[in-house]
Amino acid sequence: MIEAKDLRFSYQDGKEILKGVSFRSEENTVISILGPNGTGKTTFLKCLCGIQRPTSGSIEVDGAEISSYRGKELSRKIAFVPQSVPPSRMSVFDAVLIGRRPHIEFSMSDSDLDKVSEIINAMGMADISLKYLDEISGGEFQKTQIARAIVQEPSVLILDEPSNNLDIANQHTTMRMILDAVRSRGMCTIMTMHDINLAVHYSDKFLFLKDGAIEAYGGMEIIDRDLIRKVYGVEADVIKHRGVPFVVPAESDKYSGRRL
Amino acid sequence: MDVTERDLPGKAGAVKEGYLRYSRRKMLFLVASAVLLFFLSVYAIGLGASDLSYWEIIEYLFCPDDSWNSVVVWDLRFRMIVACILAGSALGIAGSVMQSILRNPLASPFTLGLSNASAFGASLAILFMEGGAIVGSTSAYANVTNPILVTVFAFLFAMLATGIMLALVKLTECTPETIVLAGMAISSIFSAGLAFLQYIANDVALSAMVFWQFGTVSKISWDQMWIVGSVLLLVSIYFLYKRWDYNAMESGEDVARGLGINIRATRFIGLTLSAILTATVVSFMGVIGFIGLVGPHIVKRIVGNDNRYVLIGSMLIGSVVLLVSYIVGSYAFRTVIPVGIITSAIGGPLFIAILLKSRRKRR
Repeated sequence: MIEAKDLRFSYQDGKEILKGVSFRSEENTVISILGPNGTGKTTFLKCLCGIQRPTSGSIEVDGAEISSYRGKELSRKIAFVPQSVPPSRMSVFDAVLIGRRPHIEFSMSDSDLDKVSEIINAMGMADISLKYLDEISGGEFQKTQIARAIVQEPSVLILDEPSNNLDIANQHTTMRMILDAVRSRGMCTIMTMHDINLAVHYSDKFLFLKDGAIEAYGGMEIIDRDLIRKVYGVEADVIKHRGVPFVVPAESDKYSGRRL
Repeated sequence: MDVTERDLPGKAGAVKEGYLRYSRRKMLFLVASAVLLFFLSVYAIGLGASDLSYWEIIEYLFCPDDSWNSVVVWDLRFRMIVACILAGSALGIAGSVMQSILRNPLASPFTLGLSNASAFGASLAILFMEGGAIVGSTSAYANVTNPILVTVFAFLFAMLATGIMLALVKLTECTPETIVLAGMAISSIFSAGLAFLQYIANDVALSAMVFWQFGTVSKISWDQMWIVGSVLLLVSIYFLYKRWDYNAMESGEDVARGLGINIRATRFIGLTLSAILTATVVSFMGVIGFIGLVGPHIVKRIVGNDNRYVLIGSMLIGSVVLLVSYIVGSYAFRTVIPVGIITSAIGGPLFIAILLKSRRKRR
């Protein structure tokens, strides 16, 4: 469980990024954070996982304020996958094994190895587990990072643009694997997404941010024409496809008949 | 159907098995390096002008007496080998830690300006505190007459350079790039200062300065080696304890922070301890370049950037490279050439070869 109360964040030059964000999420829930570029999504995530300290407000995970957890304790509660991670010359297995760091005192145990082997196998990376990170594809690299966070065994999993740089097949297999992993472990997952139509298929709840404040928070029924206009400033048709909303931008030249 | 059912749990097991085999291979590399180092040491102790059999050497090694042969074995041959291993290990592990915590493959005790700073400190002591003179009659060479003073100055200036670097980093908010740039800036300032001191120095002081700068394993005493050895032991135990954190830092700051690692503290303590280790070695042995760069790079080529193996591997390979340089410098030419010249001469081309090879691999 994670709960943020009146979260505010400003940079030292006074620029306010988050203007009082409050929300709460239960375990076994997947939340997508949506909103235009530069609206504070990444800052919000970094505040939630304690990488950035909010200017004011509080964040509670499993009933305790995150500042009350000491370094490694917090990383046993929250795991974070940043938007871009520099690839180093380390094998996939070793890179996932780093996720066990919060649980390792001096040496790793046999159960650490078991957990890493299981997640690597579950995410379909058994064949590449001994390849170096600089030898695998972008999709495989992203899966490695997600596996690293899952094997950390947190209550809250935070992902910044997990579907970035992935082709359509990889987007769906990666999201599917994230879902399987978090559902079987009862984690609460919070992720930022660019693609609303992808988010719709893999999330329980949607949090729309605009200019550092929450515009709307709820299930997929909240996604409609008005909301898209308010948040992104574009006209879009929201059509139902097999009962699921599908957002189609209406400002395409193709629709207006203008030549490209 | 039956096959797939047994296959599924087995596949995770196969991943683990594969990884254990892979880890054993890396361990094997460490063992092989240690064995190589051992045989190199045995080979080196048999080299020299006095004709001694290995039995005699072992006898003098374990039951030293007052004879000249005993002095040869202990104070000439064995002392140099131990010095090579201590300096190689210290520079190797310091280099690999600096590269990890700065996420910069070019970081090393020397690219960060520590060597020039301590050379400047030593020269200052030689010039203004009259720490140098010409000694020896057969092959007159310059030496420092007040080694303690010179050593203390070399150490202080290496620490001063580290202090300036860390202060600059704090002001510029600690990005790894600024640390290496700051190191380069500091390095050039001290090398300008060094050139100035050499310009105004008289012949005696000048040759003492130049002699001090040549890295050599021959001028360190047993007492001084205890100092280097103790510092090395304490610092490397700390580094090994932190190996998981250094691995996490290889994956970038956000990942490391998410894993509960205090980046600033880890970086600050790691850099300071590396500087202390380097300064200790440079103060007693002068400037031995490239070990901190080449040692870790060779190891990383073979085992990857996994500090569980790289730290110890860099110590072993650093020692091997230094020992080979010592053997080449001492016995391959008509005169004895300081080991620092050899490490730079073979380290430079070796480093270029490593770069070229890694580039070909990427294509």
